[in-house]
Amino acid sequence: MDPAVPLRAAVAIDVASPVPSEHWRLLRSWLEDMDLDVEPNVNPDVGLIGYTLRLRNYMLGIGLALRATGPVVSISAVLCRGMDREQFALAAADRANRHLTLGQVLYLPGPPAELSFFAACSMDLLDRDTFALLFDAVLGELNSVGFPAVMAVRGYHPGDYAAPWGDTPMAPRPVEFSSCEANHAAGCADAPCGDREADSDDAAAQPQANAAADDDCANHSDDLDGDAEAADVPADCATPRRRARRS
Amino acid sequence: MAASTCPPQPAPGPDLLALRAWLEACGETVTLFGDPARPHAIGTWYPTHLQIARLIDRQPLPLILVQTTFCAQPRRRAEVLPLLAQANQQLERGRWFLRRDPLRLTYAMELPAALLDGDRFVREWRRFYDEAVAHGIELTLRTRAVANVGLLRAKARLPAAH
Repeated sequence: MDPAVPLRAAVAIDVASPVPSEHWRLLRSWLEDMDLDVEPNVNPDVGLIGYTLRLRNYMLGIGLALRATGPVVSISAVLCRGMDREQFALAAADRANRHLTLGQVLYLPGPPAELSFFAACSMDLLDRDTFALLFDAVLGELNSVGFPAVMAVRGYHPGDYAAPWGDTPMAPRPVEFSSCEANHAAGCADAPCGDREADSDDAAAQPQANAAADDDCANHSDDLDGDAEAADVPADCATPRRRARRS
Repeated sequence: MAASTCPPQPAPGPDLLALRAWLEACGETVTLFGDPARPHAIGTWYPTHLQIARLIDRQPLPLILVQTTFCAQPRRRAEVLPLLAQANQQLERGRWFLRRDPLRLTYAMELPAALLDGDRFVREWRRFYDEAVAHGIELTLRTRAVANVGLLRAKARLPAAH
């Protein structure tokens, strides 16, 4: 074993792997040089399939794939899952791909439906410094292109869908207050449910998965400033109007 | 002496004339676009598409963008986005997307320029060609689009030898 490789890394990379181990060592050393706290992602059948890096808004997967032309470093991230506006997802993914300078945005129909980011680069085109710059560029793309795509489809934070695919329920995490009446019964009856202050309090007090119920509550009541809110919505995110039928 | 806080700086990478020399060394016929002394892109005319490469001066990570507009004017517009999403799932690298006015289906891939040499660039260029043809023909046929080379021919913008 190479003594230069830290023990923690060596434990992680000395499992059976579909690609030669030296490449994993090299990738791990690059990641550790960037002071990233990565976790090995080990599949019991295949072996090490990559490293996971948990950021606040993205869970990044960094791995290697052995292609015909040699090993390829891949960086992937789940942007959102279980979108409210799944029918917009194809258009949002295409718009994101048009604006990207690195990688691609994928729409996976699921369930749950998912927008994800994927970038790959041949390992022989990278060294320590270039990988660090590529990684920074990927984070920049995620923020500048990925986030608007998530907003356009009103996706849920991937942290709300932490379970593996097979166990993931169709709907987001069970919502405690599934209707406006339930919200009122739970204590927001004093303020109209469209009140921005009440909304912000709700949002602070309840988990993010309850945002769906908040939106539902805020949108269907009559005494709300829904029109003003609708005017604030960018054209890309607004509900499309149906075309008038041609006679 | 204070430690330097400069971020890592890769080598600047090749210029377009170097890319042209690498492609011509392996038998490709290369066309320069723009001023011959300072071209903004290089490209190769294939029977199916025009494949171009240009530099993206994105500091601190300069990139080389390889791109082709494979087909245009799809008649089955409802099929375009699902087919593009399907193609994107199958790609090893790069991305398919739709450009508007007029509608064009485009495939693009970027390469970090710092460590690029002739062998690596030609390998990636040919791999891009394979992906573009494999998915582009399917997209053209299934969306009832027109090959972009055909449109350029109609506008007499094709080289005489093509």
